[in-house]
Amino acid sequence: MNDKNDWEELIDRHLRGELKESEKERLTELLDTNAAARQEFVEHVRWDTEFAEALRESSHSPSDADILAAERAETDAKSASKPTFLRLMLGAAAVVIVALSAGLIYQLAYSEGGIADTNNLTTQPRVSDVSIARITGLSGSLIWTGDRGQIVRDVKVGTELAGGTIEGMAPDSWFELQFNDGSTVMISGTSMLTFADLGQKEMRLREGIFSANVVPQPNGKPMLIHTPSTLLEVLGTQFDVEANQASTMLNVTEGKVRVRRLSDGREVDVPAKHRVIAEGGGDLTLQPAPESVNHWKSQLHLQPGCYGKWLPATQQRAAAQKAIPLVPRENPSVTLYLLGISVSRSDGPPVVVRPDSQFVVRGRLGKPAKVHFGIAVSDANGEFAGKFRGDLDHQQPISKPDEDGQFEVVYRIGDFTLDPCVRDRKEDLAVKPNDLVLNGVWAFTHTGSPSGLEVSEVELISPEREVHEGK
Amino acid sequence: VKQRHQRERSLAERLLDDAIDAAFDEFQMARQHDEAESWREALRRCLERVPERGQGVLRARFADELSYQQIGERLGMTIEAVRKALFRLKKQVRSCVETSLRTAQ
Repeated sequence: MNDKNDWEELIDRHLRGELKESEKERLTELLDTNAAARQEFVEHVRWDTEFAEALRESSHSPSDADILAAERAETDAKSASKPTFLRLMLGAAAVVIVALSAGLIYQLAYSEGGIADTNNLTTQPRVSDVSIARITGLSGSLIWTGDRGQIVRDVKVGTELAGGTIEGMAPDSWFELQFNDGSTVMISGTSMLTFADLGQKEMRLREGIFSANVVPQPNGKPMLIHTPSTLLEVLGTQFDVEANQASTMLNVTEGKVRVRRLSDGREVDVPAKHRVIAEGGGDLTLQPAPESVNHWKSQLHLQPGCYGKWLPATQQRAAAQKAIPLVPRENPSVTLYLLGISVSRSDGPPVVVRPDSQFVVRGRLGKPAKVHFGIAVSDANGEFAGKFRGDLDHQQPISKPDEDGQFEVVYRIGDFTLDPCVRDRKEDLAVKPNDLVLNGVWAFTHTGSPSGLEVSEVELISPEREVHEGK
Repeated sequence: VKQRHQRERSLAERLLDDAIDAAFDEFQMARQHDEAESWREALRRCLERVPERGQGVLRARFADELSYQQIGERLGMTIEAVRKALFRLKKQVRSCVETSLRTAQ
């Protein structure tokens, strides 16, 4: 701490993942013994996170349609080479990011009262002169960046858009857009989609879960969907896509979609009821759409959840996803501790929720707390079918950790009710999650101070499995 | 020796993780809504004042998440020049935001 620059350099190098073992020990010791160092560390990370947020927003300023065209070729090489430290940093400093995001917290915080105030919106997107699409559904925390650079955190149903980028900021985010020709596209979870229509619909899915119902497109002008690893050409069909920087999973329900893998130019036509997973090397072979299953267990020992801080397994404890703070913009006095785990469709068959199944959530708590629990589901076509909460209908008891800090909670599917934040469009959604496909789960506490919530395992158990296992 | 090194390495990682968690638990204070808005506005204004080349460096680092080497290749700078530029630019912008907020008060 004698040399301020040296100390800042140490933090900087930590954020870049470049510290040697001895430097890690030095940083740990400083943080353990020096309150000023701790405060400065948090402040430094906060600044870097704010820089990232502000610069990302400003980098959307040029026309996204132009960016789509200009970056088509270079995007993948660039994406593939990106370091992950910023993501780690953003995870560590999520308190700042979530303070910037709207919707989810507010809805979660007030969901017990059954309030979903969609009218309390003060800023609306500017209606474009050349609208290409209209928002037909949304929920959760979303940010829309228009193609003229305007940034809107409070988007609403019915707004006409000329194009731009929509970002789902939280595991329960969801957004549906209808183009003027009736084609609909949807993203859910932490996703990022840029869309444009200059005579030909063109989209770029940077990451996340995307589905579409596309009416027949003009000859020679298929809908184009760019992902980090593929280019999809769609003439008219129903399908869903799950993409990240390393791979793209395409599942076609109706019609046909052509997939071109960018790394080697190989193409394959994916017909109805088939899917293909495009990764860096391997085969690009068609697979029949897998049969669904009724049992699912999180795999946190293999991969992180989609929201929160991932704690890999150690010799002393199992891997877990730790809840991180989330502060509603509308209600900054509320801090929730939230984590999310997505149910990947790339790694296995679709998981169908049965009415007589139950979720078992296991993990650790630093103190007794109510553990709130929600799920997102879609129908077999990948279309969003609703978000449901397992802790509302049935008065959720306080979970008390045992002497080792462990807890276990059971949520029965029969008790799940529509999440208050999507009740305003309940006519379009399912009444219950029964027989729908599980997309993701999330859990949070609302205790006014850190609860230490960590989830090590979430399991969906069907009655057959319980009988089979003699439970 | 390798196994022992691995164990020690993971221990160092774990201890650092715990220390960082504790720091965030102690000092994570969400800004009030109004404060956050004016703070972000000040940050946006200060970033706009950064010369074009500096903005390129910041954007490459924070928006495009490039490594120092990749930034250097893109902008024709050495890694050391990138490191120094980032350090200096961040300091300038922080100072600009703090001054701007103080003046507003």
